[in-house]
Amino acid sequence: MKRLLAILLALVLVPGLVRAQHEKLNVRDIVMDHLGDSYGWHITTVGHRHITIPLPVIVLGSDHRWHLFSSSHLDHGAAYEGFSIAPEGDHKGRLVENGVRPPLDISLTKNSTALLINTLVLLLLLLPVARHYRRGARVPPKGMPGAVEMLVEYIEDEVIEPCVGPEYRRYAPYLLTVFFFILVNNFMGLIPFFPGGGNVTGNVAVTMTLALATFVVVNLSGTREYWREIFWPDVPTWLKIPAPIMPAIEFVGIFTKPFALMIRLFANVLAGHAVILGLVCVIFMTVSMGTAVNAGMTVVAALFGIFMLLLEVLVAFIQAYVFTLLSSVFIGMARVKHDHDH
Amino acid sequence: MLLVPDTGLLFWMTVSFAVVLAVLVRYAFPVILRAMESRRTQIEKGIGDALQAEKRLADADMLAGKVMAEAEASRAEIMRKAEQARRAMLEQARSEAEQEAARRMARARVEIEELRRHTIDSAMGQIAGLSLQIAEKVVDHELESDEKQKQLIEQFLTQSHG
Repeated sequence: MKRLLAILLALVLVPGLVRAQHEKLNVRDIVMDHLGDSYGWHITTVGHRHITIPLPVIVLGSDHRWHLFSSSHLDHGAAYEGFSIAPEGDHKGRLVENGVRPPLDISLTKNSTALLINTLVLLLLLLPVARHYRRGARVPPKGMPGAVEMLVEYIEDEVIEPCVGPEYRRYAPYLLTVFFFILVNNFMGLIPFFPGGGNVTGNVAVTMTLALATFVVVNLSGTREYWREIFWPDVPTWLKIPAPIMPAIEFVGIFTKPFALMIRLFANVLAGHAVILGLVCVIFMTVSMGTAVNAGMTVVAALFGIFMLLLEVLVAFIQAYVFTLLSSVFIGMARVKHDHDH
Repeated sequence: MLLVPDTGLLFWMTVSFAVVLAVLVRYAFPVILRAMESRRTQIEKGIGDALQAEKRLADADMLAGKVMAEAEASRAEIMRKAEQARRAMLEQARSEAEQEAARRMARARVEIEELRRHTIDSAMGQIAGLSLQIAEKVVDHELESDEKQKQLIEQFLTQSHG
Protein backbone atom coordinates (compact mmCIF):
# COMPACT_ATOMS: atom_id res chain seq x y z
CA MET A 1 0.00 0.00 0.00
CA LYS A 2 2.81 2.40 0.94
CA ARG A 3 4.64 1.61 -2.29
CA LEU A 4 1.49 2.15 -4.30
CA LEU A 5 0.92 5.52 -2.68
CA ALA A 6 4.54 6.50 -3.26
CA ILE A 7 4.26 5.57 -6.94
CA LEU A 8 1.00 7.45 -7.30
CA LEU A 9 2.46 10.53 -5.65
CA ALA A 10 5.61 10.35 -7.74
CA LEU A 11 3.54 10.17 -10.91
CA VAL A 12 1.82 13.36 -9.87
CA LEU A 13 4.86 15.19 -8.55
CA VAL A 14 7.72 14.35 -10.87
CA PRO A 15 6.40 15.95 -14.08
CA GLY A 16 5.53 19.08 -12.18
CA LEU A 17 8.92 19.22 -10.47
CA VAL A 18 10.70 18.86 -13.78
CA ARG A 19 8.56 21.61 -15.28
CA ALA A 20 8.93 23.81 -12.21
CA GLN A 21 12.70 23.82 -12.53
CA HIS A 22 12.47 25.28 -15.99
CA GLU A 23 9.60 27.72 -15.90
CA LYS A 24 8.02 30.14 -13.50
CA LEU A 25 5.26 28.44 -11.57
CA ASN A 26 1.69 29.69 -11.80
CA VAL A 27 -0.13 27.82 -9.04
CA ARG A 28 -3.54 29.13 -10.00
CA ASP A 29 -3.14 27.90 -13.56
CA ILE A 30 -1.95 24.47 -12.43
CA VAL A 31 -4.85 24.04 -10.00
CA MET A 32 -7.43 25.38 -12.46
CA ASP A 33 -5.99 23.26 -15.27
CA HIS A 34 -6.41 20.14 -13.17
CA LEU A 35 -9.83 21.07 -11.84
CA GLY A 36 -11.13 22.37 -15.13
CA ASP A 37 -11.71 20.60 -18.39
CA SER A 38 -9.64 20.31 -21.56
CA TYR A 39 -10.03 19.15 -25.14
CA GLY A 40 -7.10 16.72 -24.86
CA TRP A 41 -6.13 14.34 -22.09
CA HIS A 42 -2.72 15.35 -20.83
CA ILE A 43 -0.91 12.25 -19.58
CA THR A 44 2.51 13.59 -18.58
CA THR A 45 5.35 15.86 -19.65
CA VAL A 46 8.79 14.58 -20.56
CA GLY A 47 11.16 17.51 -20.83
CA HIS A 48 9.28 20.02 -22.95
CA ARG A 49 7.21 17.37 -24.66
CA HIS A 50 3.60 17.06 -23.54
CA ILE A 51 2.16 13.60 -24.00
CA THR A 52 -1.54 14.17 -24.63
CA ILE A 53 -4.31 11.94 -25.90
CA PRO A 54 -6.31 13.90 -28.50
CA LEU A 55 -10.07 13.72 -28.10
CA PRO A 56 -12.86 14.27 -30.64
CA VAL A 57 -14.26 17.77 -30.95
CA ILE A 58 -17.97 17.74 -31.80
CA VAL A 59 -19.39 21.17 -32.30
CA LEU A 60 -22.32 22.87 -33.98
CA GLY A 61 -20.91 25.85 -35.76
CA SER A 62 -22.50 29.19 -36.47
CA ASP A 63 -23.17 27.85 -39.97
CA HIS A 64 -25.57 25.35 -38.32
CA ARG A 65 -23.43 22.45 -39.43
CA TRP A 66 -21.86 19.86 -37.19
CA HIS A 67 -18.07 19.76 -37.14
CA LEU A 68 -16.17 16.70 -35.99
CA PHE A 69 -12.38 16.67 -35.80
CA SER A 70 -9.52 15.71 -33.49
CA SER A 71 -8.47 18.11 -30.78
CA SER A 72 -4.86 17.66 -31.93
CA HIS A 73 -5.71 20.17 -34.71
CA LEU A 74 -6.10 22.80 -32.02
CA ASP A 75 -2.72 22.20 -30.32
CA HIS A 76 -0.47 25.20 -29.65
CA GLY A 77 -3.27 27.70 -30.25
CA ALA A 78 -3.91 26.58 -33.82
CA ALA A 79 -7.30 27.14 -35.45
CA TYR A 80 -9.17 24.50 -37.40
CA GLU A 81 -12.29 25.03 -39.50
CA GLY A 82 -12.59 28.41 -37.80
CA PHE A 83 -12.46 26.94 -34.31
CA SER A 84 -9.73 27.47 -31.75
CA ILE A 85 -9.24 27.30 -28.00
CA ALA A 86 -9.50 30.69 -26.31
CA PRO A 87 -6.15 31.51 -24.68
CA GLU A 88 -7.69 34.06 -22.29
CA GLY A 89 -10.83 35.97 -21.45
CA ASP A 90 -14.19 34.68 -20.24
CA HIS A 91 -13.96 31.58 -22.42
CA LYS A 92 -10.35 30.75 -21.57
CA GLY A 93 -9.60 27.12 -22.37
CA ARG A 94 -12.89 26.66 -24.21
CA LEU A 95 -13.61 26.26 -27.87
CA VAL A 96 -14.48 29.45 -29.68
CA GLU A 97 -15.44 30.20 -33.22
CA ASN A 98 -13.97 33.51 -34.26
CA GLY A 99 -13.82 34.59 -30.61
CA VAL A 100 -17.37 33.59 -29.61
CA ARG A 101 -18.68 30.37 -28.17
CA PRO A 102 -20.35 28.16 -30.76
CA PRO A 103 -24.09 27.46 -30.35
CA LEU A 104 -23.55 23.92 -29.16
CA ASP A 105 -20.33 22.24 -28.10
CA ILE A 106 -20.66 18.57 -27.15
CA SER A 107 -17.00 17.69 -27.61
CA LEU A 108 -15.64 14.69 -25.79
CA THR A 109 -13.47 16.62 -23.39
CA LYS A 110 -11.25 15.10 -20.73
CA ASN A 111 -14.06 15.06 -18.19
CA SER A 112 -16.60 13.74 -20.69
CA THR A 113 -14.23 10.96 -21.70
CA ALA A 114 -13.48 10.19 -18.06
CA LEU A 115 -17.22 10.08 -17.46
CA LEU A 116 -17.73 7.56 -20.27
CA ILE A 117 -14.81 5.44 -19.05
CA ASN A 118 -16.20 5.54 -15.52
CA THR A 119 -19.61 4.55 -16.86
CA LEU A 120 -18.02 1.56 -18.55
CA VAL A 121 -16.18 0.67 -15.33
CA LEU A 122 -19.44 0.91 -13.41
CA LEU A 123 -21.22 -1.40 -15.83
CA LEU A 124 -18.30 -3.85 -15.75
CA LEU A 125 -18.50 -3.79 -11.99
CA LEU A 126 -22.24 -4.36 -11.60
CA LEU A 127 -23.24 -6.51 -14.55
CA PRO A 128 -21.06 -9.51 -13.48
CA VAL A 129 -22.93 -9.58 -10.17
CA ALA A 130 -26.24 -9.72 -12.02
CA ARG A 131 -24.83 -12.36 -14.39
CA HIS A 132 -23.71 -14.40 -11.40
CA TYR A 133 -27.30 -14.58 -10.15
CA ARG A 134 -28.86 -14.90 -13.59
CA ARG A 135 -26.92 -18.15 -13.92
CA GLY A 136 -28.94 -19.45 -10.99
CA ALA A 137 -26.22 -19.20 -8.36
CA ARG A 138 -27.59 -19.28 -4.84
CA VAL A 139 -24.39 -18.43 -2.98
CA PRO A 140 -23.02 -14.87 -2.93
CA PRO A 141 -20.24 -14.09 -5.43
CA LYS A 142 -16.65 -13.77 -4.25
CA GLY A 143 -14.07 -11.03 -4.86
CA MET A 144 -15.11 -7.67 -6.28
CA PRO A 145 -18.68 -8.75 -7.18
CA GLY A 146 -19.02 -9.93 -3.58
CA ALA A 147 -17.90 -6.54 -2.30
CA VAL A 148 -20.35 -4.84 -4.68
CA GLU A 149 -23.17 -7.02 -3.42
CA MET A 150 -22.24 -6.22 0.16
CA LEU A 151 -22.53 -2.51 -0.65
CA VAL A 152 -25.86 -3.08 -2.41
CA GLU A 153 -27.18 -4.88 0.64
CA TYR A 154 -25.87 -2.23 3.01
CA ILE A 155 -27.35 0.69 1.07
CA GLU A 156 -30.66 -1.06 0.59
CA ASP A 157 -31.03 -2.16 4.21
CA GLU A 158 -29.52 0.81 6.03
CA VAL A 159 -30.39 3.74 3.79
CA ILE A 160 -33.14 3.11 1.27
CA GLU A 161 -35.54 0.97 3.27
CA PRO A 162 -35.57 3.10 6.45
CA CYS A 163 -35.67 6.44 4.59
CA VAL A 164 -38.09 5.72 1.75
CA GLY A 165 -40.49 3.56 3.69
CA PRO A 166 -42.70 0.65 2.67
CA GLU A 167 -42.43 1.35 -1.07
CA TYR A 168 -38.63 1.32 -1.03
CA ARG A 169 -38.33 -1.54 -3.53
CA ARG A 170 -39.71 0.68 -6.29
CA TYR A 171 -36.96 3.27 -5.78
CA ALA A 172 -34.07 0.99 -4.82
CA PRO A 173 -32.73 0.51 -8.39
CA TYR A 174 -32.60 4.27 -9.03
CA LEU A 175 -31.00 5.08 -5.67
CA LEU A 176 -28.48 2.26 -6.00
CA THR A 177 -27.58 3.48 -9.48
CA VAL A 178 -26.99 6.98 -8.11
CA PHE A 179 -24.87 5.62 -5.26
CA PHE A 180 -22.64 3.48 -7.45
CA PHE A 181 -22.42 6.14 -10.15
CA ILE A 182 -21.10 8.70 -7.66
CA LEU A 183 -18.88 6.19 -5.87
CA VAL A 184 -17.17 4.95 -9.03
CA ASN A 185 -16.69 8.48 -10.36
CA ASN A 186 -15.31 9.65 -7.01
CA PHE A 187 -12.84 6.78 -6.79
CA MET A 188 -11.77 7.10 -10.40
CA GLY A 189 -11.14 10.79 -9.79
CA LEU A 190 -8.64 9.88 -7.08
CA ILE A 191 -6.47 7.87 -9.44
CA PRO A 192 -3.86 10.39 -10.58
CA PHE A 193 -3.16 8.88 -13.99
CA PHE A 194 -5.06 7.73 -17.09
CA PRO A 195 -7.81 6.47 -17.16
CA GLY A 196 -8.43 8.08 -13.78
CA GLY A 197 -7.86 11.65 -12.71
CA GLY A 198 -10.89 13.21 -14.36
CA ASN A 199 -12.63 15.70 -12.12
CA VAL A 200 -16.09 14.31 -12.88
CA THR A 201 -18.05 14.61 -9.64
CA GLY A 202 -16.18 17.83 -8.87
CA ASN A 203 -17.92 19.30 -11.87
CA VAL A 204 -21.17 21.14 -11.44
CA ALA A 205 -22.63 19.81 -14.71
CA VAL A 206 -22.41 16.25 -13.40
CA THR A 207 -23.81 16.97 -9.95
CA MET A 208 -26.54 19.11 -11.50
CA THR A 209 -27.67 16.21 -13.69
CA LEU A 210 -27.75 13.89 -10.70
CA ALA A 211 -29.64 16.46 -8.60
CA LEU A 212 -32.09 17.05 -11.45
CA ALA A 213 -32.71 13.31 -11.70
CA THR A 214 -33.49 13.18 -7.99
CA PHE A 215 -35.66 16.31 -8.34
CA VAL A 216 -37.69 14.62 -11.07
CA VAL A 217 -38.02 11.34 -9.14
CA VAL A 218 -39.01 13.13 -5.91
CA ASN A 219 -41.64 15.34 -7.50
CA LEU A 220 -43.08 12.62 -9.70
CA SER A 221 -43.42 10.45 -6.60
CA GLY A 222 -45.13 13.18 -4.58
CA THR A 223 -48.39 12.15 -2.98
CA ARG A 224 -51.42 14.38 -2.57
CA GLU A 225 -50.35 15.07 1.02
CA TYR A 226 -46.88 16.10 -0.16
CA TRP A 227 -48.29 18.71 -2.52
CA ARG A 228 -50.84 19.82 0.06
CA GLU A 229 -47.99 20.36 2.55
CA ILE A 230 -46.31 22.60 -0.01
CA PHE A 231 -49.26 24.70 -1.18
CA TRP A 232 -51.45 24.54 1.93
CA PRO A 233 -49.16 23.62 4.84
CA ASP A 234 -50.46 22.83 8.29
CA VAL A 235 -49.60 26.22 9.86
CA PRO A 236 -51.70 29.13 11.23
CA THR A 237 -53.87 30.63 8.51
CA TRP A 238 -52.26 34.07 8.70
CA LEU A 239 -49.07 32.48 7.40
CA LYS A 240 -50.96 31.42 4.27
CA ILE A 241 -53.46 34.19 3.71
CA PRO A 242 -53.31 36.96 2.54
CA ALA A 243 -49.56 36.63 1.89
CA PRO A 244 -48.64 33.00 1.14
CA ILE A 245 -45.45 33.11 3.20
CA MET A 246 -45.25 29.45 4.11
CA PRO A 247 -46.37 28.13 0.71
CA ALA A 248 -43.70 30.29 -0.87
CA ILE A 249 -41.05 28.93 1.51
CA GLU A 250 -42.22 25.39 0.90
CA PHE A 251 -42.25 25.96 -2.84
CA VAL A 252 -38.70 27.28 -2.79
CA GLY A 253 -37.82 24.21 -0.72
CA ILE A 254 -38.67 22.02 -3.71
CA PHE A 255 -35.70 23.54 -5.51
CA THR A 256 -33.31 24.09 -2.61
CA LYS A 257 -33.21 20.40 -1.79
CA PRO A 258 -31.73 19.26 -5.12
CA PHE A 259 -29.65 22.43 -5.21
CA ALA A 260 -28.12 21.47 -1.86
CA LEU A 261 -27.45 17.99 -3.22
CA MET A 262 -25.74 19.45 -6.25
CA ILE A 263 -23.54 21.91 -4.37
CA ARG A 264 -22.63 19.52 -1.54
CA LEU A 265 -21.22 16.83 -3.80
CA PHE A 266 -19.58 19.29 -6.17
CA ALA A 267 -17.98 21.36 -3.42
CA ASN A 268 -16.72 18.43 -1.35
CA VAL A 269 -15.07 16.65 -4.24
CA LEU A 270 -13.70 19.86 -5.73
CA ALA A 271 -12.32 20.97 -2.37
CA GLY A 272 -10.59 17.62 -1.86
CA HIS A 273 -8.93 17.83 -5.26
CA ALA A 274 -8.00 21.47 -4.71
CA VAL A 275 -6.35 20.76 -1.35
CA ILE A 276 -4.28 17.91 -2.79
CA LEU A 277 -3.26 20.05 -5.75
CA GLY A 278 -2.42 22.91 -3.40
CA LEU A 279 -0.18 20.65 -1.35
CA VAL A 280 1.55 19.43 -4.50
CA CYS A 281 2.09 23.04 -5.56
CA VAL A 282 3.80 23.79 -2.25
CA ILE A 283 6.66 21.62 -3.48
CA PHE A 284 6.99 23.63 -6.70
CA MET A 285 6.64 26.94 -4.91
CA THR A 286 9.53 26.21 -2.56
CA VAL A 287 11.94 25.22 -5.36
CA SER A 288 13.24 28.78 -5.50
CA MET A 289 13.75 28.89 -1.70
CA GLY A 290 16.73 26.59 -1.70
CA THR A 291 17.26 22.85 -1.57
CA ALA A 292 16.89 22.49 2.22
CA VAL A 293 13.55 24.33 2.41
CA ASN A 294 12.31 22.60 -0.71
CA ALA A 295 13.29 19.14 0.62
CA GLY A 296 11.64 19.81 3.96
CA MET A 297 8.48 21.14 2.38
CA THR A 298 8.44 18.26 -0.07
CA VAL A 299 8.36 15.79 2.81
CA VAL A 300 5.64 17.76 4.60
CA ALA A 301 3.58 18.21 1.44
CA ALA A 302 4.00 14.56 0.48
CA LEU A 303 2.87 13.37 3.92
CA PHE A 304 -0.08 15.75 3.92
CA GLY A 305 -0.82 14.74 0.35
CA ILE A 306 -0.98 11.07 1.32
CA PHE A 307 -3.15 11.95 4.30
CA MET A 308 -5.48 13.98 2.08
CA LEU A 309 -5.61 11.22 -0.48
CA LEU A 310 -6.70 8.76 2.20
CA LEU A 311 -9.20 11.30 3.47
CA GLU A 312 -10.48 11.68 -0.07
CA VAL A 313 -11.06 7.92 -0.24
CA LEU A 314 -13.27 8.31 2.81
CA VAL A 315 -14.94 11.41 1.39
CA ALA A 316 -15.59 9.56 -1.89
CA PHE A 317 -17.63 6.99 -0.03
CA ILE A 318 -19.27 9.45 2.36
CA GLN A 319 -20.41 11.77 -0.44
CA ALA A 320 -21.94 8.91 -2.41
CA TYR A 321 -23.60 7.75 0.80
CA VAL A 322 -24.88 11.22 1.71
CA PHE A 323 -26.27 11.91 -1.75
CA THR A 324 -28.12 8.57 -1.72
CA LEU A 325 -29.28 9.09 1.86
CA LEU A 326 -30.66 12.57 1.19
CA SER A 327 -32.28 11.45 -2.07
CA SER A 328 -33.92 8.60 -0.13
CA VAL A 329 -35.08 11.02 2.57
CA PHE A 330 -36.55 13.40 -0.03
CA ILE A 331 -38.35 10.53 -1.76
CA GLY A 332 -39.58 9.30 1.61
CA MET A 333 -40.90 12.80 2.41
CA ALA A 334 -42.65 12.95 -0.95
CA ARG A 335 -44.31 9.58 -0.34
CA VAL A 336 -45.72 10.68 3.03
CA LYS A 337 -49.30 9.67 3.77
CA HIS A 338 -51.00 11.27 6.74
CA ASP A 339 -53.42 9.31 8.81
CA HIS A 340 -56.30 11.77 9.25
CA ASP A 341 -57.87 9.64 11.96
CA HIS A 342 -55.20 10.78 14.39
CA MET B 1 -16.01 29.44 -14.20
CA LEU B 2 -16.31 26.23 -12.22
CA LEU B 3 -19.89 27.05 -11.29
CA VAL B 4 -21.03 27.38 -14.89
CA PRO B 5 -22.12 24.01 -16.18
CA ASP B 6 -20.52 23.05 -19.45
CA THR B 7 -23.13 22.13 -22.07
CA GLY B 8 -20.98 19.38 -23.53
CA LEU B 9 -20.42 17.68 -20.22
CA LEU B 10 -24.06 18.19 -19.35
CA PHE B 11 -25.01 16.42 -22.57
CA TRP B 12 -22.62 13.50 -22.07
CA MET B 13 -23.56 13.23 -18.41
CA THR B 14 -27.25 13.06 -19.30
CA VAL B 15 -26.57 10.44 -21.95
CA SER B 16 -24.25 8.31 -19.84
CA PHE B 17 -26.41 8.52 -16.73
CA ALA B 18 -29.51 7.68 -18.75
CA VAL B 19 -27.71 4.68 -20.27
CA VAL B 20 -26.36 3.53 -16.89
CA LEU B 21 -29.77 3.96 -15.28
CA ALA B 22 -31.54 2.13 -18.08
CA VAL B 23 -29.05 -0.77 -18.13
CA LEU B 24 -28.75 -1.16 -14.39
CA VAL B 25 -32.46 -0.72 -13.67
CA ARG B 26 -33.33 -3.15 -16.46
CA TYR B 27 -30.58 -5.78 -16.20
CA ALA B 28 -28.63 -5.52 -12.96
CA PHE B 29 -30.41 -4.33 -9.85
CA PRO B 30 -33.71 -6.22 -10.21
CA VAL B 31 -31.76 -9.48 -10.58
CA ILE B 32 -29.40 -8.66 -7.72
CA LEU B 33 -32.17 -7.44 -5.42
CA ARG B 34 -34.39 -10.40 -6.26
CA ALA B 35 -31.54 -12.82 -5.55
CA MET B 36 -30.74 -11.05 -2.30
CA GLU B 37 -34.41 -11.03 -1.34
CA SER B 38 -34.66 -14.72 -2.14
CA ARG B 39 -31.55 -15.42 -0.05
CA ARG B 40 -32.90 -13.27 2.76
CA THR B 41 -36.18 -15.19 2.66
CA GLN B 42 -34.23 -18.42 2.64
CA ILE B 43 -32.15 -17.27 5.61
CA GLU B 44 -35.27 -16.12 7.47
CA LYS B 45 -36.91 -19.46 6.70
CA GLY B 46 -33.78 -21.24 7.89
CA ILE B 47 -33.78 -19.19 11.07
CA GLY B 48 -37.51 -19.90 11.50
CA ASP B 49 -36.93 -23.60 10.96
CA ALA B 50 -34.02 -23.54 13.37
CA LEU B 51 -36.15 -21.75 15.97
CA GLN B 52 -38.93 -24.29 15.46
CA ALA B 53 -36.43 -27.12 15.77
CA GLU B 54 -35.09 -25.49 18.92
CA LYS B 55 -38.63 -25.25 20.28
CA ARG B 56 -39.28 -28.86 19.36
CA LEU B 57 -36.04 -29.83 21.04
CA ALA B 58 -37.05 -27.87 24.13
CA ASP B 59 -40.46 -29.58 24.05
CA ALA B 60 -38.78 -32.95 23.65
CA ASP B 61 -36.44 -32.09 26.51
CA MET B 62 -39.42 -31.10 28.62
CA LEU B 63 -41.23 -34.30 27.66
CA ALA B 64 -38.13 -36.33 28.40
CA GLY B 65 -37.87 -34.59 31.76
CA LYS B 66 -41.51 -35.36 32.44
CA VAL B 67 -41.05 -39.00 31.39
CA MET B 68 -37.92 -39.19 33.50
CA ALA B 69 -39.76 -37.72 36.46
CA GLU B 70 -42.59 -40.19 35.96
CA ALA B 71 -40.06 -43.01 35.62
CA GLU B 72 -38.34 -41.79 38.74
CA ALA B 73 -41.63 -41.67 40.61
CA SER B 74 -42.51 -45.10 39.29
CA ARG B 75 -39.10 -46.42 40.28
CA ALA B 76 -39.53 -44.95 43.76
CA GLU B 77 -43.00 -46.52 44.02
CA ILE B 78 -41.66 -49.88 42.87
CA MET B 79 -38.78 -49.59 45.31
CA ARG B 80 -41.19 -48.67 48.08
CA LYS B 81 -43.44 -51.59 47.28
CA ALA B 82 -40.45 -53.92 47.01
CA GLU B 83 -39.25 -52.68 50.36
CA GLN B 84 -42.68 -53.28 51.81
CA ALA B 85 -42.78 -56.74 50.28
CA ARG B 86 -39.29 -57.45 51.57
CA ARG B 87 -40.27 -56.37 55.03
CA ALA B 88 -43.50 -58.37 54.89
CA MET B 89 -41.64 -61.44 53.70
CA LEU B 90 -38.98 -60.91 56.33
CA GLU B 91 -41.65 -60.48 58.96
CA GLN B 92 -43.49 -63.55 57.79
CA ALA B 93 -40.27 -65.57 57.66
CA ARG B 94 -39.33 -64.36 61.10
CA SER B 95 -42.80 -65.18 62.40
CA GLU B 96 -42.74 -68.61 60.83
CA ALA B 97 -39.25 -69.20 62.17
CA GLU B 98 -40.34 -68.14 65.62
CA GLN B 99 -43.40 -70.36 65.41
CA GLU B 100 -41.28 -73.26 64.22
CA ALA B 101 -38.75 -72.57 66.93
CA ALA B 102 -41.51 -72.42 69.52
CA ARG B 103 -42.98 -75.64 68.18
CA ARG B 104 -39.63 -77.35 68.24
CA MET B 105 -38.89 -76.00 71.70
CA ALA B 106 -42.19 -77.35 72.92
CA ARG B 107 -41.56 -80.71 71.34
CA ALA B 108 -38.05 -80.73 72.79
CA ARG B 109 -39.47 -79.88 76.18
CA VAL B 110 -41.93 -82.73 75.86
CA GLU B 111 -39.18 -85.08 74.79
CA ILE B 112 -36.90 -83.88 77.59
CA GLU B 113 -39.74 -84.34 80.03
CA GLU B 114 -40.41 -87.79 78.70
CA LEU B 115 -36.73 -88.57 78.80
CA ARG B 116 -36.44 -87.25 82.36
CA ARG B 117 -39.48 -89.22 83.37
CA HIS B 118 -38.09 -92.22 81.66
CA THR B 119 -34.73 -91.68 83.33
CA ILE B 120 -36.37 -91.23 86.68
CA ASP B 121 -38.47 -94.31 86.13
CA SER B 122 -35.40 -96.19 85.05
CA ALA B 123 -33.45 -94.91 88.06
CA MET B 124 -36.38 -95.81 90.30
CA GLY B 125 -36.39 -99.25 88.83
CA GLN B 126 -32.69 -99.60 89.29
CA ILE B 127 -32.94 -98.25 92.81
CA ALA B 128 -35.71 -100.71 93.49
CA GLY B 129 -33.60 -103.48 92.05
CA LEU B 130 -30.63 -102.41 94.08
CA SER B 131 -32.81 -102.21 97.11
CA LEU B 132 -33.98 -105.67 96.42
CA GLN B 133 -30.41 -106.86 95.92
CA ILE B 134 -29.35 -105.18 99.15
CA ALA B 135 -32.25 -106.73 100.83
CA GLU B 136 -31.35 -110.06 99.44
CA LYS B 137 -27.76 -109.64 100.60
CA VAL B 138 -28.98 -108.64 103.96
CA VAL B 139 -31.34 -111.53 104.12
CA ASP B 140 -28.62 -113.93 102.85
CA HIS B 141 -26.37 -113.09 105.77
CA GLU B 142 -27.19 -113.38 109.30
CA LEU B 143 -27.97 -110.30 110.98
CA GLU B 144 -25.43 -110.83 113.64
CA SER B 145 -24.61 -107.38 114.62
CA ASP B 146 -25.11 -103.85 113.69
CA GLU B 147 -21.45 -103.61 112.92
CA LYS B 148 -21.66 -106.37 110.49
CA GLN B 149 -24.76 -104.97 108.81
CA LYS B 150 -22.98 -101.71 108.30
CA GLN B 151 -19.99 -103.43 106.88
CA LEU B 152 -22.20 -105.37 104.58
CA ILE B 153 -23.95 -102.27 103.27
CA GLU B 154 -20.61 -100.50 102.62
CA GLN B 155 -19.31 -103.50 100.81
CA PHE B 156 -22.42 -103.60 98.72
CA LEU B 157 -22.14 -99.96 97.88
CA THR B 158 -18.46 -100.36 97.01
CA GLN B 159 -19.32 -103.21 94.70
CA SER B 160 -22.14 -101.23 93.19
CA HIS B 161 -19.80 -98.30 92.46
CA GLY B 162 -17.10 -100.61 91.17
